[in-house]
Amino acid sequence: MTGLLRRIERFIATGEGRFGRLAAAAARFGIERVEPYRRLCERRGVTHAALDDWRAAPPVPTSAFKSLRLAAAEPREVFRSSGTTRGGERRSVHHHPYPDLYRTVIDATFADACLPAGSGRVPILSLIPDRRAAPDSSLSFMANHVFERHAAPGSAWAVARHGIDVEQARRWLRSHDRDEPVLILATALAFVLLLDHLEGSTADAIRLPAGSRVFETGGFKGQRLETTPEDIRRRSRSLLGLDPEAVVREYGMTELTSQAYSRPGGERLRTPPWMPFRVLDPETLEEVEDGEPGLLAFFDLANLGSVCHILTEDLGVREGNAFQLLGRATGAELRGCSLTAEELGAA
Amino acid sequence: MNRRELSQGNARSLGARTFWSASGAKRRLRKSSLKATILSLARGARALRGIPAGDLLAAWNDTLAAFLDAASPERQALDSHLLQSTGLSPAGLGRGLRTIGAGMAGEPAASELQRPLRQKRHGFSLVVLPASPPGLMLQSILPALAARAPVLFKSSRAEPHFAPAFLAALGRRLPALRDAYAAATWTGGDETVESAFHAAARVVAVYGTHETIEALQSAATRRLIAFGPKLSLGWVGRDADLARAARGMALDTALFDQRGCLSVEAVLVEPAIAPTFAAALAEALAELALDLPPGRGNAAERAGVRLAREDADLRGLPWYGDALDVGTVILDSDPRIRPSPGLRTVRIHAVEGAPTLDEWNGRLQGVAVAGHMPATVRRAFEHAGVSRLAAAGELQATDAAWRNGGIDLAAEFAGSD
Repeated sequence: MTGLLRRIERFIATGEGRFGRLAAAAARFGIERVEPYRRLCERRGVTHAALDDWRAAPPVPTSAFKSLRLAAAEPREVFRSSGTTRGGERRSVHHHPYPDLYRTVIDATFADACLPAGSGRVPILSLIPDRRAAPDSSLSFMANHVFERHAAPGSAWAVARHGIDVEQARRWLRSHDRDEPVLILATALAFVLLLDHLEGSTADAIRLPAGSRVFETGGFKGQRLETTPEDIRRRSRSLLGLDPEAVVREYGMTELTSQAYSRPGGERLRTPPWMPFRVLDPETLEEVEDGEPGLLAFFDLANLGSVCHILTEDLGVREGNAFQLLGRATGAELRGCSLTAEELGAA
Repeated sequence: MNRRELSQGNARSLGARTFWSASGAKRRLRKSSLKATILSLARGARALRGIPAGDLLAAWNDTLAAFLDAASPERQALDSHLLQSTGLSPAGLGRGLRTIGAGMAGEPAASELQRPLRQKRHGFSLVVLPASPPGLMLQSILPALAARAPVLFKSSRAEPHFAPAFLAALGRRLPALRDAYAAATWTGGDETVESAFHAAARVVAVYGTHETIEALQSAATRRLIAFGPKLSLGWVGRDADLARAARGMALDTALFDQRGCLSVEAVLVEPAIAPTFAAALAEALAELALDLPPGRGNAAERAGVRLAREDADLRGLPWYGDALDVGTVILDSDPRIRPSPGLRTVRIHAVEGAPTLDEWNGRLQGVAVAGHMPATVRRAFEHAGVSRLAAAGELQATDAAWRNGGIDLAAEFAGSD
């Protein structure tokens, strides 16, 4: 086990090793160690000994993290999804035995994706709660690690008890309106709330230094906000002086250890070499052609501590080596007599 | 599944801001004409007060009969649009409209229209309709007629056909209604239109998502009635005839392709009979699909059903189903209720005694019942806000006396002022 973990860490950190072999070994490890997954594989006729291609390992729907304990070893961290504002629904729980692997992933991806080339430590403003405020949030785990690795002195968390502290954020941004580029860590919702606050402020617009970046993750979790990516870009420019390439979108979830990122200013998401994605036909779970929409599935080597092959609730489409998000599968939300135009026809 | 499917919602839009009066006239809803539109609707109240109940009932019955008859000229003109906009199969559309409308004709309608309710002052109400199911506006137009209350119906951009067609047909039969009823579409959140209508409307009744309702709550409306998203359940007692119960539950599940608040999404069954009932329901759904073929499901629903099946597999739960859209029955060992992903997917929960429904207070609409329901179980459902208990197979066949969510819309439209 330790050998496999070390080999995966090395592959993530340095690229040494062969993904296919590691992935097959990781899938076998999951079958061996994660009881519900072993039983699923048995029912599907997938045996430990015969498994030599990761694609043959059945993907596990993310909903399974809401009802089953999927842990290959004693967890050292327990991450829970945040749920929507209305509550009531079950939350995903990711029992994570290998948090150092998570740190390795962040070290191997975050700086390349989110920081301007050659930058060392940068002033960071986080609109994401730190670990003291949200000890079971995988996003807060990540934000803390990013602070440890990349934050320059004076970096700050602008988070209040019940949300973000937009006024503290505004003051911090005003005080960094010169010299060094800054990095803002935010969920999409938090960033929009910040822009709303700045729009309502009577103070002069803030002009952040060229090269500043925004790390934006997640959606709006049940909030009805009248906004679009174009609107966010437009307001980022007028209120913060950010150019259209400033925003880096991150795609991650409690059930995955690794993340996908867009290029700065882009919409298409790319996964790292240790987390290939596939777009699957819901009817057959076979991979669809490029350009055809389907369910997004990931094989994340860094999920060694639970299950590596994950079937998400997200619909997407492959465009070359990247994917675009298209929407969500139905499931958790009540819809009776309340379907919107988009829900009826789209999705 | 293709990419085009994924954007059909927008493609089907007729364009923002369209207005249909009950005279059948159609025009663009312009900012400059909003005030005149509001005044015209509000003035309609006076003409309504003078209409004898008998004339109103005759016009209503005749119009409704035409809309429940697939061979009528009105339906012939409407069905191709409705099939396109709703995605229902022709059989599904016909059966659905008959189910929702049949109980609103004749005696139940007469009782409703003869209630001593009258809107006394000028003014109009606004009813915001969902994209599905079609024909849902019948449940608000009849109370509006009973209260002699003018109403503007906001149709969804995805299904903008039924409301204007029905109002025009009503206006042809009783021209005195023409000024008092109208339909319109606009893009939700269109401030120009919404702020004017919301501020002027005496009552706003909205069928919509929590997000829609929350947004309207913050608008300056005088009275907001929210019909938020709900689901319905089935209950099967141990003495039930399982084959008959399964056929009834299958119909209550499949009507409107499980997109209504009276659609059954989960069935609570006494433990001893749960596995047998699950198998019977799966068989009934497969049989029903021959008579009532599924409509055009969308990618999100197909994905949701696939995930539900994969989740069941992982948890080792027995499930039944073939093609994704014909129906899926999952025998769920977890007693907690979850919404169905759609496409006739039903979870069967074995429940001993009264179910725990705390999480669902205010979010349950109806219960289809087969076999004996103990009083404790009935109380649990009623405590959770269930507004309709009906025999399996008849849950969606409401009549004019049903009060959705316990709300008397006619009294609300009439108002106390």
